[in-house]
Amino acid sequence: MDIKKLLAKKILLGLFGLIILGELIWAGMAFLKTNNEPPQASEVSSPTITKVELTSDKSEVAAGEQFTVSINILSTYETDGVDLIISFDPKLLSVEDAKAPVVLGTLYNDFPVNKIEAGKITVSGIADESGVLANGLFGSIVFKSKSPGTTAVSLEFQKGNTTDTNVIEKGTGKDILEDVKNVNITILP
Amino acid sequence: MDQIFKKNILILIGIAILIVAIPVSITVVQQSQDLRSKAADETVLTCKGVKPWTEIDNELRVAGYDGAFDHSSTELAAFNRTACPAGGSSGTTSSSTCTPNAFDANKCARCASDGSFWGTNGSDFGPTTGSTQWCSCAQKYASDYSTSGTYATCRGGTGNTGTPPVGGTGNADDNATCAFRFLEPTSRKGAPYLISGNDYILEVTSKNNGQSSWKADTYKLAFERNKDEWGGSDQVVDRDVAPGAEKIFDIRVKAPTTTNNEHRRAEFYIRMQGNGVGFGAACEPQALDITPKPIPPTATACYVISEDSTEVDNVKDCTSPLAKLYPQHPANINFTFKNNTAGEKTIYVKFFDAEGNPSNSGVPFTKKVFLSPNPDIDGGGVDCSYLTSGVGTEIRIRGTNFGAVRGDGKVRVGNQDAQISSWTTTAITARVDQRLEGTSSIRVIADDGRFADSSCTIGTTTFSMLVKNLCLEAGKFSASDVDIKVFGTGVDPLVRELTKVDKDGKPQGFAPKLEKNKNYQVIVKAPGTLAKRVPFNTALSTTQLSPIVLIPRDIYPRSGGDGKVNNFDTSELKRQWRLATDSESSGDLNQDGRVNSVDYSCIIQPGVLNKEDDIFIAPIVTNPAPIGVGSTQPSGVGSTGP
Repeated sequence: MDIKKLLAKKILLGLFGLIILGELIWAGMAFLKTNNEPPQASEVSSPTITKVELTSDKSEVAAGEQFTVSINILSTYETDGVDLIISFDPKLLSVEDAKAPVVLGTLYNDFPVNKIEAGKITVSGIADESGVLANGLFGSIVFKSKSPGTTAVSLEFQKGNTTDTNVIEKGTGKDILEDVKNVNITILP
Repeated sequence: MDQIFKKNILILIGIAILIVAIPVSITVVQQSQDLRSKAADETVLTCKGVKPWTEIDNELRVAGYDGAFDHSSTELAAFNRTACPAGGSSGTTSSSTCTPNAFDANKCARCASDGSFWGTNGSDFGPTTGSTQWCSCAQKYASDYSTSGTYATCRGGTGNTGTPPVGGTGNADDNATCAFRFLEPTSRKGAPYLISGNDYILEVTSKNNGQSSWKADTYKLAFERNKDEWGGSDQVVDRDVAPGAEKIFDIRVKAPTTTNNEHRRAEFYIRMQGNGVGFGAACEPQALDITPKPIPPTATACYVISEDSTEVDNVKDCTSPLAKLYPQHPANINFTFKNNTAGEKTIYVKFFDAEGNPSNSGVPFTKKVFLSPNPDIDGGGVDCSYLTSGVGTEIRIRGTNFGAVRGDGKVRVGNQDAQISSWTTTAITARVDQRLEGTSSIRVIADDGRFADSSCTIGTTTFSMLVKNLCLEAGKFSASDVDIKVFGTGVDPLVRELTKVDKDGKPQGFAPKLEKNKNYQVIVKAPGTLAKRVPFNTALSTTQLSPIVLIPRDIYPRSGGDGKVNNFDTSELKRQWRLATDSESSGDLNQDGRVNSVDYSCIIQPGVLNKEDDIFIAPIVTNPAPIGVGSTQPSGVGSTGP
């Protein structure tokens, strides 16, 4: 093999590698920049719908076993408050703390109500005049299964109805909640 | 020699004749001169005492004497017959008052056989039944003349009451002219016009244009039509009237009455009759009006008015061409000055009664008037604007010569008198109690009645709005007793209505008209909300405000709030918080039965916390002070005369 040819080939491969390396560095920087900087308001062309989701740390529990249902709010809106009416089957489930059924998160700092009312968990979190971006964990509920069966922990919700679960937009008083996600629990014997 | 003697004798005889003839001729001339020398101012003893011949001549002329006015014994005898006819009223007795058995065709009476008295008027119709004379008396005095067969011959087949009796025959060559005039009964001055119900002398002059004399007691001047309406009477010729001579008759008449206070035409038909047969030209008015009797005072018949005192002085009665009929009392008489130059003018007025007597002993009434230049608005103009408080329109007028004192001055707006707020010679402020719309005529009438016209225009806009409740969704707000007040610049609302608002937020029946291009404030308050104030301007013909968003009133204290939304109310709301069950709490601001974040969101919205009822805020006025300010002259005060 000719040494000159061999050198030329190495040089070409080296240059090619440098180019690829440079592109990788640029792509990585661009990626980091996108994830570190919060989106500018002008970049939100169409806000996502506001949802309240219930999730459980367990989908199957044994009778007498505790499980936790988390309440998450997904929204891009500033809000004045949230009302949650959560139904469960008291024959199959019980709330560990009946006086304060919801273990409150830090999303809101004022909770006018947090109790069991007419067999339902009712809890509201409200903001001050500056509002709260309703995106994150609202709180959680610790249930204890009582007997085998399949049951659901669900949010009372009908879109547009102000007498059920609501997420209230700051400044307009509008209920912007569009969807909810409930959770099903199977209680094993 | 003989011839010489004869010649001398003839000369002597001629001289003798001449001597005798001269005195005779002188005497004749002297006698003629004596007759002519009875001057007009000479007096003579008459049956009425000593009178000047001039008076005798005049009375004989009036009486229609057709003899010579030669101041002779014949003229004197004629006067005595006229002035002192056989005396005594008929039916009375007196010694030697009339010629025994003499017949008076005018009285239709006969003198007693001893001449001591006249028979009662109408007691004797004359010597021959059916004769003209007899018929004339029958028609005059017989109450059944028109129906009784006794007088059938007199009626000649016509039988109509008032128809002149016929039956006699006139002379074929009878002819006459007729002229008349009306005289005032007392002064015998010519009456310029006739007033209904007043007495007059109808003076008729008849001239014998025929070939035969009009024999006394045979010819007469007869009222052939409307005799009763005038209250007139036939006039018998009392002495012969020779052809070519005139006879003047005086007939006392009363002008016929008018109806409905309207004028009417005078109508009658008078002519000569001979033996009961009419002949010659008749006297009948062609275009003579009878004036309704004036409403009291009846004394004023005419007047004269002028700026020239001499002109007024020269008018002596209503017959003057310058005299004008006094129309009706009281009368407003317009007078136009000869020129309208400014300065003092004097008007002279004199009034006369129907007799020609002047008012105020003939001294004219005078009125001094200071004629100022005509009032004028053009140089100033008129501004009309709605009152800043309450209902009404203020009119501000600038101009000249309105008069320093208002007096009887006024401002007419359309067809109504405005209330005067202030009045100076250059500026007037007035007002009416309505809101004028469009263009209104304005007239300033000065104290002396002169006026100036102008107009003002007020553009209007129809104001409307929608009302929303901050806590309620659109289409769900429905409320009664919503209080809506519209203010101008004053604290009193121009418009205030307590009305119902439908679910879409539209006030029912609320569409007031407001003045264009003005600033206003509207304050709306619904039950359960705070009062909301919104200022606006009416630049367009319709003014539609953006929806007025009402915010809820406070809910704490629970007894009805304290008028202010604050943290006490948010606390109260939290206390009432109820998510799962219905509630009729005051905190249920959106009225959905729950007290939750929706209600909380409403109460903490920007501008709500610490909010109180809005109130009227007086605008800062940058306009100059109203014109006319400073006048202290109250309306209706001031002299109206010089």
